[in-house]
Amino acid sequence: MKLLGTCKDMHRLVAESLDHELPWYVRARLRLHLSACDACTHFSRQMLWLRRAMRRLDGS
Amino acid sequence: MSVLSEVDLAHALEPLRPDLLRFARLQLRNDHWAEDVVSETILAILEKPAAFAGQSALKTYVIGILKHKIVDYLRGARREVQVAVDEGESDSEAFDTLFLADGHWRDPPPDWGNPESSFARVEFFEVLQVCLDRLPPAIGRIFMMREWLELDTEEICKELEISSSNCWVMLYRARMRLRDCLQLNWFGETPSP
Repeated sequence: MKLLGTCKDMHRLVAESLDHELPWYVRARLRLHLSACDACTHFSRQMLWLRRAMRRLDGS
Repeated sequence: MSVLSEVDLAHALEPLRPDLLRFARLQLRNDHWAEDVVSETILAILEKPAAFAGQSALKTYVIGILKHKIVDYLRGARREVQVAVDEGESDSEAFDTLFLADGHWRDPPPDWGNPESSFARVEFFEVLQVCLDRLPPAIGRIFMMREWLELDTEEICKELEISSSNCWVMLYRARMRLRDCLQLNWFGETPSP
């Protein structure tokens, strides 16, 4: 289903969203994909997990 | 909280030096620059002991100063901190193999669970440090600028004089490598070949 996009394409957008704001229509498509895809949802959480870990690096 | 004397402050700062060096090396990828920046940081603090009065944690305060010094250093040494944009070119192939021909994950990413459980353990940050060390130098530098110094990608691209898309690609590679490293060395599962 082309509207949902592939995980291969979408996972890069997930990573990129941490570094710049995606255009609204890309964000919408990404949200749609994530709502239907556990794997990419986990991946997205992993990316945020990593960011949180870096924030805590100083306190170790 | 009373003002520490310069002598007290110097005594308090010495044990922090190894940690400061470690962070500076992670960011600058050059021992000589790291030594310089850490020395400047300590000197700056010793020159103004009163500036520390009232801070709740010396280490946090010192790392804050270190970060500022590193940012200044990166801004000043723009020409020296060359970024090899084509570093990690083989990554694109490595990351392609994470997916099947139809674009699905070969091995769906697992749930890493509550971060706090990992952060509660000192070993976790040791593993994270090693994973950061293993990043190729230019990718490691950019990643640290973004996630440790918390600079905007716009500013990073400007400082390093590379395009936004190159910036994003390098950050993507850093994140994928780190993810892989943690998956293998912390969560204990082998990554996909």
